[in-house]
Amino acid sequence: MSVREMILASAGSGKTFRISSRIIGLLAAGEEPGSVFASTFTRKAAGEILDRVLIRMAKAALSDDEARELSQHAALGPDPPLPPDPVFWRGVLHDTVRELHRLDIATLDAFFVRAVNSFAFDLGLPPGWGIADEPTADRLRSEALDEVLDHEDRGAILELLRGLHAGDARRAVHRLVAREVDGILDVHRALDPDGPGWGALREAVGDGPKDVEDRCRVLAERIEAAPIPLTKTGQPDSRWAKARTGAAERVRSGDWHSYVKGGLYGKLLAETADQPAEYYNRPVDGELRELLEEAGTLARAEVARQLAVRAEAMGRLAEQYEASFGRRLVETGQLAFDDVTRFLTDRTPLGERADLFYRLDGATRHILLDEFQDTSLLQWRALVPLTDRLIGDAAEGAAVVVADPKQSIYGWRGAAPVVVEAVSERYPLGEDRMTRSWRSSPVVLEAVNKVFADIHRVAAVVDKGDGVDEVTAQWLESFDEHEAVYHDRPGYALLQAGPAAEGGRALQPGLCRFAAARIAELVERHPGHSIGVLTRKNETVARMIFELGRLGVAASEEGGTRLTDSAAVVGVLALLRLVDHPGNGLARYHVARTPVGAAVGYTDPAHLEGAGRLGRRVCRDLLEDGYGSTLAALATELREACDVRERARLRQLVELGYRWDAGAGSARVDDFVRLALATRAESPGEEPVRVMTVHRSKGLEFDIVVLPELHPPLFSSSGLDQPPLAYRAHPNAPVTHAYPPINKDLLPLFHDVPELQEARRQLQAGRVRDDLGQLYVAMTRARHALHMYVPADRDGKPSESRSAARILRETLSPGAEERGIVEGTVLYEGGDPDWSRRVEAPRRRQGRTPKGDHDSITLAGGPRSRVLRRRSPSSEEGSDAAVDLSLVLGLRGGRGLTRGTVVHAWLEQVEWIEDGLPEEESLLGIAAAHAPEMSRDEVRLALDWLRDRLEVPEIRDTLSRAHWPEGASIENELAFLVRDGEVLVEGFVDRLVLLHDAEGRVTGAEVLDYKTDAIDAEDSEALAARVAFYAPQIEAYRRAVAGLFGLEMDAVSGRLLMLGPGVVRRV
Amino acid sequence: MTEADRIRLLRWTEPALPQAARLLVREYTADGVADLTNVHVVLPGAGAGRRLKELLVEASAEAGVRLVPPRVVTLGQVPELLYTVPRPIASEAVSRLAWAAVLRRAPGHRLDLVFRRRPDSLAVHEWALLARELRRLHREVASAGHRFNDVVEICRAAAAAKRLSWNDADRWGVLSEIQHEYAAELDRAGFADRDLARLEAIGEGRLESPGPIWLIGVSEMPGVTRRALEGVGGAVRALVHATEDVADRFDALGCVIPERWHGVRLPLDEAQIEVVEEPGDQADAVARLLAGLDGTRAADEIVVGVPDAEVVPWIAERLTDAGVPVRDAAGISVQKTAPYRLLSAVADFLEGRRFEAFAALVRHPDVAQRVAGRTGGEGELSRPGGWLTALDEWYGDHLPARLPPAEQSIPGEGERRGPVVAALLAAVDDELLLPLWDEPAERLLSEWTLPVLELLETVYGARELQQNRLRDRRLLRALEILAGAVHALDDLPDGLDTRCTATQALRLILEEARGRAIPADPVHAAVELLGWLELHLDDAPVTVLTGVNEPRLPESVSADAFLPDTLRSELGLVDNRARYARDLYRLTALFHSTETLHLIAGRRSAGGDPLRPSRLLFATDPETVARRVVRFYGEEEGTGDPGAAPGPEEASTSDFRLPPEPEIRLTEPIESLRVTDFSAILADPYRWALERVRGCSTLADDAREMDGLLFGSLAHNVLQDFGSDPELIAGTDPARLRGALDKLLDARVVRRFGREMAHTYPAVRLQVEQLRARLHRFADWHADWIASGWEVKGVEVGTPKGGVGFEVDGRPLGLRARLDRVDHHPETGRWAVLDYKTSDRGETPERTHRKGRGDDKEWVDLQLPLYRWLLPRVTDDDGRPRYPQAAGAEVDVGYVLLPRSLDDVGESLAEWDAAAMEDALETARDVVRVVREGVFTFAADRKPRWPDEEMESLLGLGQLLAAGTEGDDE
Ligand code: SF4
Repeated sequence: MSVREMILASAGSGKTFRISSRIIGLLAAGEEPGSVFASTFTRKAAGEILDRVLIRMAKAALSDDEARELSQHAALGPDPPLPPDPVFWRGVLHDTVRELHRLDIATLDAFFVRAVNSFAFDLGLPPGWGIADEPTADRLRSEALDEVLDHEDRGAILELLRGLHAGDARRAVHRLVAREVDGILDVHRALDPDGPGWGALREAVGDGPKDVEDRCRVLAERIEAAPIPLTKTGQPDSRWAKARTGAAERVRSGDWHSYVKGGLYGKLLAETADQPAEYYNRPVDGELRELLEEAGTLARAEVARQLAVRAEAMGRLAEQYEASFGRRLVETGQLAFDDVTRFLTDRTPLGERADLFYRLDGATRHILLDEFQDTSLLQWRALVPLTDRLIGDAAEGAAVVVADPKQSIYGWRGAAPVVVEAVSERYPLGEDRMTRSWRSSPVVLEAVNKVFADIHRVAAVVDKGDGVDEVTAQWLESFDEHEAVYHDRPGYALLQAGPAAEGGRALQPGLCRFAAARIAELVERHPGHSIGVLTRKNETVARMIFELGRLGVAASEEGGTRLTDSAAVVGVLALLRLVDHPGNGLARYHVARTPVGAAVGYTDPAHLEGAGRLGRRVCRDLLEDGYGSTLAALATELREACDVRERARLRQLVELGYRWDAGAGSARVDDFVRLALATRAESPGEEPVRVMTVHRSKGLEFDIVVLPELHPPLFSSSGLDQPPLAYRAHPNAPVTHAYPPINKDLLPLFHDVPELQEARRQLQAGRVRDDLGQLYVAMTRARHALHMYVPADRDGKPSESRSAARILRETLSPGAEERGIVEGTVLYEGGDPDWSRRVEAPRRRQGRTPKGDHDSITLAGGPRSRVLRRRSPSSEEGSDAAVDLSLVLGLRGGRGLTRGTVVHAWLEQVEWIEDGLPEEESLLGIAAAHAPEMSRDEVRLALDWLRDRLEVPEIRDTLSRAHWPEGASIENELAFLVRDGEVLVEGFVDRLVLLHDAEGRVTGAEVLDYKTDAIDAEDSEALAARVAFYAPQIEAYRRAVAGLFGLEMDAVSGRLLMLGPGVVRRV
Repeated sequence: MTEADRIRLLRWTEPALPQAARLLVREYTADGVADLTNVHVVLPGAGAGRRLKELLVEASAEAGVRLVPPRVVTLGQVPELLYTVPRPIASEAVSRLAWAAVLRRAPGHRLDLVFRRRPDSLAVHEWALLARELRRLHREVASAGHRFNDVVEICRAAAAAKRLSWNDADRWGVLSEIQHEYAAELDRAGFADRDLARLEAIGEGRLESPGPIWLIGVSEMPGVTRRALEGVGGAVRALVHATEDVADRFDALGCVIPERWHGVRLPLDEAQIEVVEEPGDQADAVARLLAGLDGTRAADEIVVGVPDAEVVPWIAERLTDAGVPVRDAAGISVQKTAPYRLLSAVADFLEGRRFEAFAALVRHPDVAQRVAGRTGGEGELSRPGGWLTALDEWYGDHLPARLPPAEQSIPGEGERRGPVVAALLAAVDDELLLPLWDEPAERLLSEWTLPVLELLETVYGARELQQNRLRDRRLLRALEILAGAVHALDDLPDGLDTRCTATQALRLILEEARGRAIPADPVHAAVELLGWLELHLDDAPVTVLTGVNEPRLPESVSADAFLPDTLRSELGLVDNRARYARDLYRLTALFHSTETLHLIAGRRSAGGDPLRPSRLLFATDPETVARRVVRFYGEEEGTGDPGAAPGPEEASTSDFRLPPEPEIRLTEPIESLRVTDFSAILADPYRWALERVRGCSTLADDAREMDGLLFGSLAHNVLQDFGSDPELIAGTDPARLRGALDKLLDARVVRRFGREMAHTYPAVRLQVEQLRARLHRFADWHADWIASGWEVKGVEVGTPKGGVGFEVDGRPLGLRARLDRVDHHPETGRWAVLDYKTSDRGETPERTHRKGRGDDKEWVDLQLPLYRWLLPRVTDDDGRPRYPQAAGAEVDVGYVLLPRSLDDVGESLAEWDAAAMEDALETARDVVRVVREGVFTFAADRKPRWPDEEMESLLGLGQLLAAGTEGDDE
């Protein structure tokens, strides 16, 4: 029965449908829900698969048609056919939901976390380990780095630092290294211990000559003197002379970069077999050539030396950092997902452990892997032992792998589409391709096909001669013409020029403004349709929302917009900043000059003390009432000053406060502010326009897609920091050779180091895949319409750099160059701009849109009937007097308390003192039961003390029968439970004397309470204070007793029996 | 008594507890007294117990009898009612320390089978953490009536019979050895373990009934309790909340029999179920339901069930906002209270005196009040705001990672903010922490208890705390809990009283207190938020059950390190199957007994993760199952109330406007400017005005290394010292200069960061070395420069007070500046005004002063042109020009660069011609005119030179600073 398939599914081709069909098929074939394991890239996608599985079965359970269809789609093979009958599906569904908790559809990360958790002790993780939040993870990294920097040998660290930064003495240390270390680690962790690793370059090039400076000087002189071509007049060609001087100068100063990059030596390096090096049509040869080459050798040695130093510094840094970080990991148990995965691939991979499924409570037999192109090599390594068990040669489980290498856009985060090949190589899987799109209109797909079908031939891709075309061709292997399932779905595609780019920056405010204006028109023209604005960079997301906002178009960010887009929220945050930093003048001004100031009574920003006092007040509220309540109270104060939207935003801040209260919290208000700054929440109001990066758009679709950022250069890293280069013999092999980032101009120096060249190519290939994937993903998010905006030509010339914009122009609008492109030029158009007239705006399940206000809710009033306040008389002691803290803390006479307990227990045995205390043995037994921690000696002492006290006449008298009228009875330790208004009073009366009339009815009572405090009998003041202190308690007892026996308060008296001083006091 | 007599049914058509109360009163009434003196009433949770007491009072009042209350206990307390302990039971602390001691001694090769890390170096509290885990396992297994040794046997047998997929006997064998040792350890110390004592008592039949025991609504029971109750036989009765027709689904003690609940259908009405999206929507749904009651119910008649605590914040927010009082029955965890935070902050600080910990400690409101806020405190310390500001500023100047030990002085002790900080530190050390600083640093655990209590007394003793103030009451409860945790270490048996540091002891105490909660104080009637466990027996007529989702309802657990579900089943521990049965029963009973019951299921968690519907919703016929699945997953159902308007429109304009003052007007004219102001004004006059005129500068304490400013200031300090030594400044021997600069740098570093560089951040130490490298190159350059004939004629040349008059439109404005260095070349007659520049990039004057291409260049900075203008005009103290000769001479201006690239250290002179200079001065005049006009208007398009998150937020542009756009190197 086992299905084994690899499905290459293009965008919109219904892979969720396919994978859910497979799961349903397995369930329908009688497989237990617990036997299925399906994984995908995001938790949301995992939810969608489950969603599909259940809803399709439910529909089939309710309708004949759906049942028939499902039985067809879900059948794993022709035999046996599934009954096309709702009753059948009802049964399957019923069996499935009963075991819903065992149906394992999750992300790989979630699965790995569960696995590691079951082996946390075996792996040495501390109890309570977990996935660290961003701030914690940052702190750990920072501390680990501190430890590296804290090396005893400061010289060594300095050398390392200078090595990292090519000899520079940079100011920033921590921040810089922190920025670099992740990239270095990625390579370091993948290193094959048997390869040369970071020493690869030194190994390949060897150590250069020692006396470089001298040689340079000499060489420079000789170059200067070398003959160069003469002009017709016999004069040395001045252009040549200049170039010669330039070369000499560079050699002398050791400016190898310039030497290699341009000028005469540059020509030599660019030389090919059929194109010998020429300069102004004259060959570079003879003595000059020899000298130049000699200098080239020096350049190579020198550059190699610097690079080798850097590589080694990187390796050392990685090693030391890894050690310190690893130790922190197991100490704190604060892991990142990658760390979890690494734990799985530990010395004994968990996947191989025989008790894995036992501990996981799993009966997993079948495995379905979705979005497999986004799997990283590390994850793949963790997964293999498992898949081997489930679908290896000996196993019989079903395997379904769904992937689209074209949609791999996470290479920069470690995703390796090569695992798609790896999995097919390892297990025999039938291959299937899905290219029919259930999503996009034919017009959109036509544009997609036009762009990609021949992309490897597009001049824009090929004209740099760096092998991009090869990678592109490879990428295209998984591309087939897309075809629309819904042939008549109306649609529109547009490629239009906006304003020309200003400068070379990625963010183009002008273009953003242009796109925003177009989007505003689209909102008008296609009401109710969703619009997705997809950008390459986060920065542009913010800018687009800003620009749209200026035009009055509300837009929100996928994944939520930052709370700080609200003036009220930033105002409140300024107040919170004040708490930790009253000296922050900006925050003081911000508070004082916005309605926040009025709400908290702070309006003079120059008033530092006022800020200090305010801060302390807020700080105390935050600590005692919690952030949620404190912020809620503030939000209420601010209500009048806010509009509906601001109110909704404040409410979200309040929610965040409550969540903060629920979490671990932190001592610093600053930390909450930091969290609030980073928090995103769905922005209030229904907003048809969603803005996001292409990365975030994965798995989403929109009626209209707008692409405003197609101009940034492709295939090159954009950031400041180039990652190190890593060479793998095979795409999923470990890294054997590691190099520092190398400027591409210098690469030709090492044309004979194949691993370096290949490493560079591998890096480049990854970028090409990511970039093409991004364009593909972006375009294929569109259901009906696709709007693409590119910059117009600047000074009549298109930009030379490779960009998506250029690809689009050349594929969709070939020949546009000649026409000259100005703002507004339409470069490509297809379909019907008014497509929406032919479709109904879809109704879709909207996310929650927070509302600004809620009506207040009125509940019934009246006295309380349930959940009363509870009180015990002893808690009434001195109810508005200050509590004696040393008692609460048990600071003095802590043992007194235990002794008191024992003494009370003994006295409970006394009915009338005339009858004496019970036998010593039984008293000791009582003591042992009540205060096992008291030693026998201590007990004896206490007993002696009690006996002594009972001899005091005043006390003895009170406890004696003779003291009371005939018929008085005693209740020792009388428990009572009475209601006193809205309060439930509960307690014990130490000793209750009841007076009866002739019929035995209770006519009066006295409450007696034993006190064991040590007070000096002579100190009448202290004595009086004590009595006053206990008065409310006795009062409460009296009230309770009166209620209990139906007596007037007058009939119940109360006395304190103070054993210590030996006095009895009426209260 | 037969089993049938033992069980009594409480109709589930009404709530259980009122019936139970009436029944008990009836049962025990004689002579007008309902005497339940010796009766024990057992309830599943404490909340139900408290409610039962209220109902008993009510029932006895109704019956007109006097109530002598019973003992009300929770299920967990039952076994101890039934046997007497031969030896004192070990407290939690003692027990955990015993586990820790045993673990620490366990032979490594054995322990390795269970815990990979043998943390020999672990601190006391870290061992305690591991011990806590083990103890939990021990308690859980024992609750089913097993010792670890029994588990070994069970594993073997069940694995052999293929009921378990793995034989885990080896690990349990090791655990069993440890457990054995543990028991012995306690025994030696004269204690018994509660759980083992139970097993022993049951095993030996030493059980005795304390009188009648009534189990009320106890639907599941640990094995050990069951065996104990069965052991005492007759006296036990169970009140089961159910009807006759389902009576056979309960066992003899009234607990559900899991098998008999599988397949049972729960006839929920569709209208009772609501499916919404996120936690916020769940809260909205609750609010809607309450609003729908139209004021017919009081707050205490409504209870909201929260099986998943995640929704609590949202409900609290929503209901409070709507004016509905809410109480979270879970109470306040002690970790959130002031004294707990205090001890934890103290522990952090004691561990290495990190500045970060100190900053947090003094910000604790109780410490702030005690240490700094005393009335009559000296100077700044008594000024609210003042000392915190001093601390922040001092930190910014000196970047201490750690504070020096009490006997050493802090860096900058005598300067600027130093004295305030020194006083603050002394106050903390001497007044607060003295008992903990005392020698020896390592003491027995029991020796730490007194100092810790004294610390609490120091902080809270001066406060007047009253029971009748809510906040005080909470504080007192928290102090009680902590004091309890402290006292638990009072009388430790010798073997367990280990030696440790104050931090370790504090951590142990905090660990001991952790997880305890201060019960919610029902001061006012409120809608109660109740966990699932308590919900069944709550008798509120209106119940809203939120979070009807897996895996909270029913609770299910998948995967465990020691007790996977299959093993749990074998051990007779509650497993997923039993949980399902139990929860299905509870929901069924709720369904029947509650007047109004609503169920709310969410589709997504707070983090946006998809949620699954509860299986309890599918305890119905297959067709309804299908319909419910469609409801949950289908597109048909929206957020429940999509039509809800966004609420009243009254105040739909916001009074929040950013920036708050779009126009800043000067009230007093500005008479002078610093030369460095010009670039800021050129970039954006409005931002400049905010900073200069309105004092909008930020202050924080999160730097971990020197920023450009501090680095530059340190460099300037050194170069200033260098310049003020006439012999040095004229030196031409690079080696000597290097040596001198080294010394000067070291001196400045000591002054700034303290004698012990160990107290600052490692990065700072390295930065100092980076600076040293630059200074060395500077020495080389300087030697050359002097050798080439230049003479230094002035360093740190300041303008007189009020500045040098710069004539604009016939009126002078004071220009203030401090010229780093004025050099003269007697041979050529040239002058040079040089500015030291330590920024990493080392840009030329041209790049920093003018932007744009070709002829379109614009001035963005005017520092150097103004320096040139100033040179002949600066005067000495007597008002005489200092450099009269410079008046007609050639004057160069430029930088002495000390950039990251060491090869670029040296001068970089500007090459502006006279026209450019004049242009610069004209630009400066324009700036002066802008300032004179005195009106600074906000313009959104102007960009900041260095974006600062706070400033941009104030301007309403904060959102444009997308993540990751932090300022670059400089
Ligand atoms: S050492 Fe420097 S920063 Fe510190 S107080 Fe003295 S002058 Fe100011």
